[in-house]
This record gives sequence, structure tokens and C-alpha cells, in this order.
Amino acid sequence: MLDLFNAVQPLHAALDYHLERHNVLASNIAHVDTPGYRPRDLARVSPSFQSVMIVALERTSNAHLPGSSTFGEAASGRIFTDAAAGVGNDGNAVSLDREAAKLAANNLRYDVTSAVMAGELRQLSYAANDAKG
Amino acid sequence: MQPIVPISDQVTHIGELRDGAPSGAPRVHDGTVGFVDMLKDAVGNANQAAQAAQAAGEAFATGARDDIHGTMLALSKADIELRLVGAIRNKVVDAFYELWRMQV
Amino acid sequence: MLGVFSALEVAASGLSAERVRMNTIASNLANVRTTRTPEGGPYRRIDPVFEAVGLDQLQGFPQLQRGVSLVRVSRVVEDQRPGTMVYEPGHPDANADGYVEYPNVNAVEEMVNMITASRAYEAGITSIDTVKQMAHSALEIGR
Repeated sequence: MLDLFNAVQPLHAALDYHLERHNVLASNIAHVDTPGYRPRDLARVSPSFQSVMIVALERTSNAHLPGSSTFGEAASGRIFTDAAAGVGNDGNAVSLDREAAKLAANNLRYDVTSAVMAGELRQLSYAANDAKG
Repeated sequence: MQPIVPISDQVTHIGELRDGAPSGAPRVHDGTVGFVDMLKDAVGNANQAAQAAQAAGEAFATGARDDIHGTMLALSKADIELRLVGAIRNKVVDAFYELWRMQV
Repeated sequence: MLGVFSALEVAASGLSAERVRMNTIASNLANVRTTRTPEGGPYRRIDPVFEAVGLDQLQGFPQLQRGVSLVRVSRVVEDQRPGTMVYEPGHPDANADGYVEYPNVNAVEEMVNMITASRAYEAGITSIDTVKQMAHSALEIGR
């Protein structure tokens, strides 16, 4: 009974990842004119990798702010700089078309994952309703 | 698909199935499947389809496979198989209660 | 499998390439009367050279590589046609005979190229929209 929602967990994680990636890509598009800006992207991390990466800094007093690295321990992914981007004269490497295409693809993956999750939950709901729709 | 044997013919055999000793009474029609076997098949198929759907969904979510319509098809198949099993079970239960209420 | 996401990648590469072409056209049109460059001589019109590169996903399927490929701007070349010589002895860039060499940019040619690039860009956008619609209709399976 306890693993009723086993199938939903990886789907939930995937939705989180896609939403965060959308934020990263939207920030790239916002920086289309920033000199020296290189576009960033979010790579998936496997759960085991994630547990290694998340190291909480110890605080000697509760009044201290929690430490965090400047380059993002995104909860569901690892931020990396897109090396394939070509650099313009001002050092800005953001290609609007590439980023927009990545955004469209990411959006599509989010939609499909959401539809898959809806299907799974609908099946569980059907069974929970005593197979009467 | 094999023709469905009317359940009234199988009711008399249910007791023998439970006891595990096949009686000397022959199957009603030669070459047809019994209802219980059909139900077992349906449950098995539904289980397989459900596992395949879960695997397909997970593969898409982790980025292993990019097949959109394949994933959606697997999900639909699992859904239909599950509903089929549910419908069969409902019909069996309804039929049982109808028989039960019969005045002898 | 060649799916929705490879189609998006291919279309996006087309958009990027056309954008580069637009940039070269804009540079040509802006420098239509530039008689002096740091390298010496007048401005020479530039053209991007496109090349087809295989999709990463196709590495395992060589037979498909001939069919589907990304566009990439391999280099930007200078047009080596000579510019027009105009007799202007008073011009600071006039040569010994009093002729000034103006860039080999033909404004009409550039406008035609610009229309082509713009249409190609629109076609790429249509391609992306269509494949997105196809994917969304696939989501309707079993809804």
C-alpha cells in the first residue's frame, strides 16, 4: 500500500527539473544584450549524484545566514555553461533562436510529463473508486 | 478472440475448481476458453500493460526516450486493459448477486 | 528515433543561420559607401557559407545522416569582385589617377538576399510551430 505512488515520484522530479530549466533559459533570453554573458543550462542529476553534491554548511549560530555557492545548487539539476554558443563582439554568447528552441522543447517535455502523470493518477483513481469510473 | 462461455455453464464447475480436482464433467464446448482463464489472461495483460506504461513514462521523464506518441499509447493501452478487467469483474459480481437473489 | 526534439533542433539551426545571413546583409548595406578599412582598401561585401552537419543522435544511423542535417555557418567569406571605380580626384581615398574604389555592394542584390533570408526565417518558425502542434495533438491520445 505504501508504494502506491511509486510511479509518480520520478515524474514529479522531472516536472521540477523542467520548471527550473525554464527559469534558467528565460534568464538567458533576458540577458540577450548583456556583454560577456554566456548562456547557462540545467543538466539532470541522478539522485545519487545529488546526494553527494548537497553539503550543508554548518552554522555556529542560528543568526547566521545559511551558506550557498554562487553558482547554484539547483534542487533538481546542475547548472553548466553552454560551451557550444558562439560569441558576439561584446562577449555575449546568447543566440535568441537557440534559447527559444530550447525553451519550446523544454515546455513540450513538461507538457508530456504532466500528461503522463495525469494518466497514472487517473488509473489509480479508477482503481480506488472500486473500478466504477 | 474465443467465444465467451455463458457463466451459468461454469457455475457448476466453480466448486470443482476450488477443490482443485478436475471433475469428469467435460468442458461445455471444445476449443473454447473457460471464463476463469479469460479473466486470468485479462488480469495478466493488464498487469503487463501497466508495467510497460510505467516504464515508458519513467523513460520519458528521465530523458532516456523521446517518443511522445509511443509513451501516450502505452499509457492508453494500460488504461483500457485496466478498465476491461474492472468491467469484467463488475459484471461477474453483478451476475453473482443476481443468481444469489434468485428464489430457489 | 527522429522525433519532435530533433526537428526542433534542426529548425532552430536554420533560424540561427538565417540570422547570421541577416547580419551580413545589414553589414553590407551599412557599408555601401565605405572606402576605407583598417586592412586598407574599400569595404568588401561578405557572405556566410552554410554547411550541413549531422545531428548527434544520428551517430548510430549513418544511413539517415544524408537525409537530416543541421545547418551551420562554416565561415564568412569576402566577395572578391572588384569594386566600382569612380573618378573623384578630390576624395581623400583617391588613388594616383584620381579614382576612388567604392565597395562591391549592390543594394538591389542585398535587398533580394534580405527578402530570401526573411522568408527562410519565417518558414523555420512555421516548421517549429507545426511540430509543436503535432506533439500537442499526440498528447491528446487517451485524454
